[in-house]
Amino acid sequence: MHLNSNLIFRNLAEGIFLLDKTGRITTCNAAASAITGYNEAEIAGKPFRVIDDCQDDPITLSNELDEALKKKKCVAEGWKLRKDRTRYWAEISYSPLFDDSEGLVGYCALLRDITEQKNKQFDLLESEQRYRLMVEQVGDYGIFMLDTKGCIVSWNEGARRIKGYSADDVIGKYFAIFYPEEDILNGKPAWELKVARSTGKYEEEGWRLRKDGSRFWANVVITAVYDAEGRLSGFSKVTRDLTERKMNEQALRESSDKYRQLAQELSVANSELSSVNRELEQFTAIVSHDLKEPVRTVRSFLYLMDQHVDQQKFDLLKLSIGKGIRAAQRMHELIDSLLHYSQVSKVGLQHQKLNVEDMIAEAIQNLNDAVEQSRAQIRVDTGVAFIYGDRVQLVQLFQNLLGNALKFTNGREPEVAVKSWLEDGCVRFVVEDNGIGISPENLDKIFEIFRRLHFASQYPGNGVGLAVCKKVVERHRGKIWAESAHGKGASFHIMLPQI
Amino acid sequence: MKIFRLAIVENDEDERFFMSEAFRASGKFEILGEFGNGDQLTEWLHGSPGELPELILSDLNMPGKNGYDIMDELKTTYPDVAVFATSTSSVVSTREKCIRAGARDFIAKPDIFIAYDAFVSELYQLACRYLGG
Repeated sequence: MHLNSNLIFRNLAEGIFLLDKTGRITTCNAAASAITGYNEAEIAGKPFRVIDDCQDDPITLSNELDEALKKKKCVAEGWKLRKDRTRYWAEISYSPLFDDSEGLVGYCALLRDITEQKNKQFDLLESEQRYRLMVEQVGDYGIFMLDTKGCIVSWNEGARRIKGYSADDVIGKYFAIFYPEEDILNGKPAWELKVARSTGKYEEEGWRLRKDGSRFWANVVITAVYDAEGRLSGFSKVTRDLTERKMNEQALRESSDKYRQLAQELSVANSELSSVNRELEQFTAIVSHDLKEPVRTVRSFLYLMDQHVDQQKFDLLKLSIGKGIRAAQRMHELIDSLLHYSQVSKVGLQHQKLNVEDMIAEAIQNLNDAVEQSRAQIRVDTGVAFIYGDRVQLVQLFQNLLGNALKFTNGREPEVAVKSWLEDGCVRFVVEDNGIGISPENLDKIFEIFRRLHFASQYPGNGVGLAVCKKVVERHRGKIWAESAHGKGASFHIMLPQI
Repeated sequence: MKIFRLAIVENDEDERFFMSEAFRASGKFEILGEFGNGDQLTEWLHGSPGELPELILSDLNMPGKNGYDIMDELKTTYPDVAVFATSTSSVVSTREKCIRAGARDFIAKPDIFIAYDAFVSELYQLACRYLGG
């Protein structure tokens, strides 16, 4: 068989119908039968609209044929029914056919079944519409699109609710209208788009403006949107109104700040109360033991003397009188010491700038007699020039420490060193001696009031000196402790705040 | 009649004198030693005396090792020796504090130290109760 146009007719995958001038089918090819389900014999002579399931339709000519005649071509598409009444989407291309003398002889209709292609298109359209409707109707999130320059191109229900603008108010406007003035002056909106453009996304929480000018706390996500070719086509902007959460957080923070402050005040008051309580307890113990003892001794000797007189033992009187006087003397000293000790906490604390060398010189001056008697060497090496505190109390502190260093010597000539330096933002003082030292189990006890390690006959004293030192240091918000290595004397360490 | 072996710890010499006089006069106690503070007492105890005391009467306020230090120390070193504390204090909390520290009991000192007779009888009764007559 030779190659001719007939072969096209027979083999083409598209259905071909030849129609006469009135639009009736004269012939069709195998592909046309396959698509429509009609064989040639069934439809020959019928109007072409038979494939629209209009078999009995007397009208043969259609708009499409008219148009094809006028424009030499007409393409139409739409649902058609097969012979078995199933549906398919047809694309039909009509062409008028002319003879050599330009006279119309009929039409050619080219039929293609593009149902599959069309379904995909419909699905896409449907899903697009679904998403658009969804986005439009979301109420809790403001979702809208910006073009590449930042002008608003779409608007949803959430955006309307959050910002108070209708779509008509904002479409086409630059999105900076939602920003407070200071942000606009700082160029923040444009900067946000720049970040989104370069990194793909911009996210933040911040204040934004509603249409009525009121502010709301917004969570904002701007995402750069690209087309299929990778070109920037605009930005999506999702906004949430978190004002309520923000307010709750703020209220929570404020109330927790308030409670923290209250708790702090309570804790301060509490520690002040317990320290007063401790002092009261201590005072009770002092009155019941230490002060009562000498009174009882005086009383006992008076009774004893009464017995001596009754028994005419006058020679014994002198001894008892002497002991009674000594007990009364001790009582007098105890009361003085106790008053002195309680003064440390009662009198208002001065906060003066003190020259450290002068302060220590004054303490040494006050001990002049003891220094001379004991032939003591006192070396002062202060690395700190000034300190802030109460002059009278701090002089007393060093006087007591130096006095102890001169006293507890076991007969040796005292060598005492006073040093100071800055340490951890505090001033550290050390008073070091070559005396009898302190055994480890007594290093804490020595600071208790009326606590004594030795008999008065050996080392006189009333056990108040170091208690006063501890109180002075604590009133200056500092720390005091003692160290002593066996046979190497003792050292007293003080840490005081620099200011 | 049971005679208890006793050690006395009291820093005031005059007080200690009248105290021990009263104990001796009662005939109910044998005094093994008299000490001025806890240091002297423990030194004696550690020197392995021929006989240990059954009870120790200790003052609270003393220079060096005081009454509380003695209770604290003897609790572990001589748990079988009963410590009785005494002082001029008549405050209830003092007694509680002593018993917490390990004392068998607390007896307040008489108003004047030349009148220890009643004190001696009271301690004897307590000793009989705690240690068995």
